[in-house]
Amino acid sequence: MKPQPPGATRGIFGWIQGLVSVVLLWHFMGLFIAAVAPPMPGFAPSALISGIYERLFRRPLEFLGLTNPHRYYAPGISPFTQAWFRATLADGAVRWMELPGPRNPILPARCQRRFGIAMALQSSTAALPQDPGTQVLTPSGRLLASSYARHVAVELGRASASPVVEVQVYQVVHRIRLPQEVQRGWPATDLRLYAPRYLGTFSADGRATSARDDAPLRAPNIPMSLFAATILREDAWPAGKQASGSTLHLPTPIAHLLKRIPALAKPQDAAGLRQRLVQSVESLDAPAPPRSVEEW
Amino acid sequence: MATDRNRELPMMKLLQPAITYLQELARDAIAGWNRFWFTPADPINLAVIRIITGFILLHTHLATLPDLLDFIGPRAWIDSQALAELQSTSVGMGNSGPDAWPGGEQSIWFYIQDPRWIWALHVLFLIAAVCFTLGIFSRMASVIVWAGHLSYIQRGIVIIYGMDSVLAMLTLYLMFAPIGTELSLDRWWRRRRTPDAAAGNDEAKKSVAANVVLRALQLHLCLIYLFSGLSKLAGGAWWNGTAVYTALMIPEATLFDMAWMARRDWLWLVLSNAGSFATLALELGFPIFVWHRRLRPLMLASAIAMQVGLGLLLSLGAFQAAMFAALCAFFPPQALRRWSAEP
Repeated sequence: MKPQPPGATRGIFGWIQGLVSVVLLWHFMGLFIAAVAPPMPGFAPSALISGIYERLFRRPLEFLGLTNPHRYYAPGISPFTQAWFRATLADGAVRWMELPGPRNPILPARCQRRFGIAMALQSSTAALPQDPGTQVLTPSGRLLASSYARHVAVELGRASASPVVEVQVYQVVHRIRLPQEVQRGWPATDLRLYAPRYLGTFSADGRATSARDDAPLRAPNIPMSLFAATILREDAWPAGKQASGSTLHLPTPIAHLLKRIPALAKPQDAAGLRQRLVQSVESLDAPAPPRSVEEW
Repeated sequence: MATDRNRELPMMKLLQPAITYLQELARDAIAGWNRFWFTPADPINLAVIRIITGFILLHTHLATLPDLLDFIGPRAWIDSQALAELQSTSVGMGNSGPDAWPGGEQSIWFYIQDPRWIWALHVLFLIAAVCFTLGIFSRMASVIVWAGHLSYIQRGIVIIYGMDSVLAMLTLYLMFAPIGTELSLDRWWRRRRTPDAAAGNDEAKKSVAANVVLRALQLHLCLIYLFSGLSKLAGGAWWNGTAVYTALMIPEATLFDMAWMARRDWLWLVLSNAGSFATLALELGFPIFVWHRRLRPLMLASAIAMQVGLGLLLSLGAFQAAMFAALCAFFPPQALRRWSAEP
């Protein structure tokens, strides 16, 4: 009898091996195509590969949760997106809420999941076709912001004596500090590192109140100095001593700013506040380190 | 006719070496394929992977237990109203356009909205995860754990991150393997009932199913490293060596404040360049060199060192632990038997 190589089998087991081989080939072909099909920034994907992926592999791999193209920290490393919510209660009080919230080194999995919720807002806006300079919420972005607003209304309403009547939603990009900025003493929560974008105002049941139902929901960028000055004027100062910090739950960079510059927490002349805020923040910077001859 | 045959013969003679070569190549490829996939293997690696995966699942789901209804309840961040809209409109799940949503393909939680039932079923899932980890009714537990975790992340939709796809891979493959034959209470119970049957020699413990699953895990892991490395090549930060600096300076993604390294230009430049190029070398080299017998320990040690380093610095949940579990598919089974004191 002719000796068989290891792994080779005949009869019914041979057929099973053949079947398993076909399944394995199919599976790994699908995984390979799923990894190359999504577009890379600056590169269009192959039309053939995209077509094969769409027709043959996307649905089964989505069902198995295996569509990840494994582009970890690639091609570039983008700054993280946070979600900030300003809820107005029926009694006129204001509560802020932010995602992901404080970092938890013991339970990073919890923090990571909450990050996902905030990061989903990253692709919630697009340029208006007739006016490329204007950003509006995409249909899925609107759906997302509306659902988040309903959730915030329930969660903050549960924690307060009065129900929530309105929620403003903001997507906030938190830029990464450059080495020069670290050397000048900027903390990670420096105001200049944040770029908020207004995503609309929603009622407690998730209806957009800042635009008609059929109208596009504009999503303008707001300069952080203006944003911070408005929060100080409209939320922090009226809330006064009793409400400052603990119950208002101001966004972390604003709360840190008030800790660094306590004078800003006291009500003052609103005129020129933004300018004073900018000067106060910049006054904390260390002098720029000396530059090398090559840099000149 | 005769002339045609005479003309064909020299052509056949010319092609014969090529035909023989292709026949031998095909025969060797099939033999190699069968050897690679269908040679019986020791299932001890799978038992170790099962235990680590079980701990990761338990850790992840227990850590997020207070948020259960925030993620999959009727008033979750993506609540039942949004879910209904997603399932019925063109912006919804299953859409492949630029406005498409990740996940959301299928989940038991699409049909169960009552918080009491959600809690009850989730507790059952956690019990299954405990059974999976300890190796009690391992096969059944593995199916429940796979379906339960997948249902959770597909319903959560926006809560998915890298660790979940690695866990989806691990739990999927482990369903098809004899994961309860080693390091399990199933085995302990079997030995108690029939001591003679359980005491087999090393060869008897080996199984083809164990090998198929181990090979699938190995290949899938290589695919992960390969595409992770290739996609980095398209990014400027990986070419100019600033990627590691950038990753470590994201306050939301790190466990410690890493600003100390930015205070001296030479320090962050050296650390970031070394880290960035070492990451590229490992991710692109691993899928090739891990198959070389001599280089495998080096590749495994480097990959483990990278995962441990990232685990200590970045707050990526249990992503690194999940990658470590997958790396165990490459460990020598004899060493695992020695470490686990399993005869």
